[in-house]
Amino acid sequence: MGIISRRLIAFWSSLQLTVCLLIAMGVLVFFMTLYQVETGIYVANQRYFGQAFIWWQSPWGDIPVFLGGGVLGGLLVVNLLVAHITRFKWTKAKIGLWLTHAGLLTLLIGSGLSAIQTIESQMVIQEGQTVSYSEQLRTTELAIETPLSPTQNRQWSIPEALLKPGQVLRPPQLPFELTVTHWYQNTRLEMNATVGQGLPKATHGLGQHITVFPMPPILRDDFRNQSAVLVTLTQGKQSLGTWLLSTGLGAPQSIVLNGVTYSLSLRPQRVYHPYRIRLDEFSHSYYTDTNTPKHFASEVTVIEPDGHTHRATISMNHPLRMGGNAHFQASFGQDGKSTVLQVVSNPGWWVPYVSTAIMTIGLLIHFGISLMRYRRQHP
Amino acid sequence: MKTAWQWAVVALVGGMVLSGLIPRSSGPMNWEGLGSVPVLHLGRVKPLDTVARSTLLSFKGNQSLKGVTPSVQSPTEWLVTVMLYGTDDMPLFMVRQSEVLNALNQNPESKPVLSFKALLPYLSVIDTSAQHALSKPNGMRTQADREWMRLRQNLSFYTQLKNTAQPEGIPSFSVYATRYQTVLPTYRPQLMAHLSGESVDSGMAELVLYFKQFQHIANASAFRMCPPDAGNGVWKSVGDGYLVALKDPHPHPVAPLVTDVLGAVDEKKPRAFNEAVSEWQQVAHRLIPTETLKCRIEAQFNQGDVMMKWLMVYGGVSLLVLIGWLWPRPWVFTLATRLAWLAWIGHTLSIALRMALLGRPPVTNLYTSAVFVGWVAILLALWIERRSRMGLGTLVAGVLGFLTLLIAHHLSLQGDTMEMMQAVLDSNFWLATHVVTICIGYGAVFLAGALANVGVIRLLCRRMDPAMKTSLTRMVYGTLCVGLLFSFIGTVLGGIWADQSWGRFWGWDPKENGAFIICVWVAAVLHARWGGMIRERGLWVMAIFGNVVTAFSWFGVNMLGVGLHSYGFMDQAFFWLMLFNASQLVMMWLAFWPRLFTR
Repeated sequence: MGIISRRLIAFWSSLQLTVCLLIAMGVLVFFMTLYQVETGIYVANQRYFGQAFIWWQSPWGDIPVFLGGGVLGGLLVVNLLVAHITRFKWTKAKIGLWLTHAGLLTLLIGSGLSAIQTIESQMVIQEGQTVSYSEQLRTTELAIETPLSPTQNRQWSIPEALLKPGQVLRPPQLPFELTVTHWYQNTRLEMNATVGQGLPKATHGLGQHITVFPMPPILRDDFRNQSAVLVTLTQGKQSLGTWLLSTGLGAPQSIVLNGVTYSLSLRPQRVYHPYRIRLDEFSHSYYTDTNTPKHFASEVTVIEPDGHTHRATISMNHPLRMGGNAHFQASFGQDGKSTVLQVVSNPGWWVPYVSTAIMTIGLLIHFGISLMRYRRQHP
Repeated sequence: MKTAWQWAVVALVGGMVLSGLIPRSSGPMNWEGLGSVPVLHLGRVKPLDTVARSTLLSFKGNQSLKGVTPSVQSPTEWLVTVMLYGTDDMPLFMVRQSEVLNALNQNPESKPVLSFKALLPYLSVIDTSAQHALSKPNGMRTQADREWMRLRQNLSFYTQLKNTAQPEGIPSFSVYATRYQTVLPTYRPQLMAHLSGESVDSGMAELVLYFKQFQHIANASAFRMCPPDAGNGVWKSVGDGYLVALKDPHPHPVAPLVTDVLGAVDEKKPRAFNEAVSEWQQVAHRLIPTETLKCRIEAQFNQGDVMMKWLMVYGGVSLLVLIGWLWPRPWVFTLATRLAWLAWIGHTLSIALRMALLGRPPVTNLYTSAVFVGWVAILLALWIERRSRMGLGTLVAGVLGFLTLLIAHHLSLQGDTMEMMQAVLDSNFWLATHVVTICIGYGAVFLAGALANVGVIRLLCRRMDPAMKTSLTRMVYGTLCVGLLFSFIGTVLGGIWADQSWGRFWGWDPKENGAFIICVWVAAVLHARWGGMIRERGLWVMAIFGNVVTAFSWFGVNMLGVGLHSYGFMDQAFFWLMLFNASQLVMMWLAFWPRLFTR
């Protein structure tokens, strides 16, 4: 083995590297915590963990100032693997160490994978209403619906990523095509505005009377952007007009073509589930004379794809797990007649349980052995 | 028995602390008895004394009773005075926020405590500003917004207090209440008819007047004094207690007693007062025996102020050890250690009593976390002392006990420390496992840091022999291992709780980040030690920095939520946290003093 590869191995297996990486992790998380105060958790997470580097927007352009969390985690994995393969001996005294590190490896790799796979969405249900989908709050979709029968709809949905100005969309089996003319991440909508004459406007639908003022996107977790899109519909060579669609406009807008009604809307991106959930009753209570919630719970009926139904109660700390999703009681409507369920699909949910259990056992064994050795030496 | 006199000292100190718990009367009127009656306030059954104390704390940040005429001796007496006459002239409302103070025409530098009378011209300004703040979403509120809301809430609670037992401005209310009960049986059918809209003769006017007054105080009541008597668990206000007489033959038994108590205070009749109080206690005992007993204990505990006294004992222990180091006599150390154990046992009993009163695990909020973190650290320190017998463990136990209880004392000034739990936290299982484990982790890491601090100081004073240095290093190392183990398990349990509640094991929220940083820091220290990168000095220095890291995740994280420039408590706390961090950085720097470790 050459001197270079020996040096490389020595570097990658060194405890010095471990200590540096651990401290770097701590520093990273500390600054991320401070950053969260301004931006909320989601954005801070993207900035500190979502990229290879943390960028500083300096007057001279973006400068990378630190390694991203994912990279640090990856380096730690390499460090751990190389150290164990080349340096560590398999002895009885080291078994706790081996277990702890094996657990840590599983945790680092597993949590990296589950961060990619997890889908979080919210399901809002009014009392008596039955819902088969949940909504992802951070992204929108352009939806086109047309009735098939009195109880059934046909839907096309176009994800936000495709809504770029100039993009021409031709969903199959639709008699028209859509051209995106403008897309705004966040807006303020104003009826019959006296200013903003030059701003683009719709020629048809609700949007004819509405002016769209672009706004900087809101990054914080607790606020929603009011996105808007202007689309021109064309049938063959003939233009059908331009519509304004926005998450700020409640009702869908419709167009009738050849006797068929198509309703258009921009809405939070939906995740459809094979089952449906009906909210039978929402109950909540406060401690007497306070605004501190004591308990809140949703009594629901689950309607399975095969028509079977069963009842369930979802409350704080008592989620409903079903079809690979877990449904958590997250919040409730102002009137106390609707519930907000957090729907989480995370196939790797078991990874942290298994890996941290292994690590805990490893730490207990390791420190237990050390303690026994110490007591033997110092009776 | 050569040490008999030491045990006598220990017994004497214990007796002095516990004597505060013996009920004793301080005058002709049984105010202590009144302070112990159970009432329902902010969702919890608590003694009247706790209502009085926590109200004072949330209004003005302390329990001082200056500026009341005629002067009052106890928080309970103050509360009764407010309900009877109001204390509009007393400086009662702390205002801390320059924008708010400017709007109230006050000097922002003066940190004033304002009376209700002084605030009277500004009520509409306060109301408008608070309404405006309330209409904003939670994340958008400024410091001034929060201060407006707090001020309005306190003012409205104060006004409610003045209308809880009787309508404001009618000191001789007992006459009305007696008349009401006398005329009610005759007129009951007519009153019911009047209420359902039928016209009645003019003889009813008197009764309708009373009725309206009771209805007024039923609506305005600040807390509820009539315990459940119908088996449905519903507490009633005094007004409602009187109004039930419309249907039942009698009012709720406590309602007229409240009027009697206030009447006796107004007319300065101690005997009538004491009789009414003792009857109130009996009625409460008959209706809700367990809660009444708990409230009696809690009120006694409030008055005894035992935690403050254990704090002083811990302080005394630290001084004794320091004396012992300057003037070495073996008995000084044994006495200090015995006193430290005494204080720790008292500390334990206080925690146990609190758990029994609340039916909760030891840690439910920041205040109890301070008490519990101290408890853990002291236990570990005293265990170290048992094995090493050098006074080090005892000194650290004394200092940590003193500091954590001092922090706890200041945290307790924010209001009732036994508030009810939010729905999401309402899980005794997770509170008992996750929160307790995390706090043990905090306690251990602090202990390691404290040991290293003491080590550096002794080195600087040239009072360290090699054996002690080695043994101290081993203590720091071992305590850090304990800290890592518990911090890690606690963090994992927190992840499991989060996964059970919200469907995510880890979400990088500030509190999780704090726990994470402790774990990686201690892991980094231990790896550096195993890799031979650090020796004694490095271990000590890194252990001292562990204090900074732990203080951040314990308190710093809570200050992020309210912003770094908040008012009142957190403002001061932020200053002290920074001072603590600075002191620890200085200690780290001092550890690098030339020839400190090489001699």
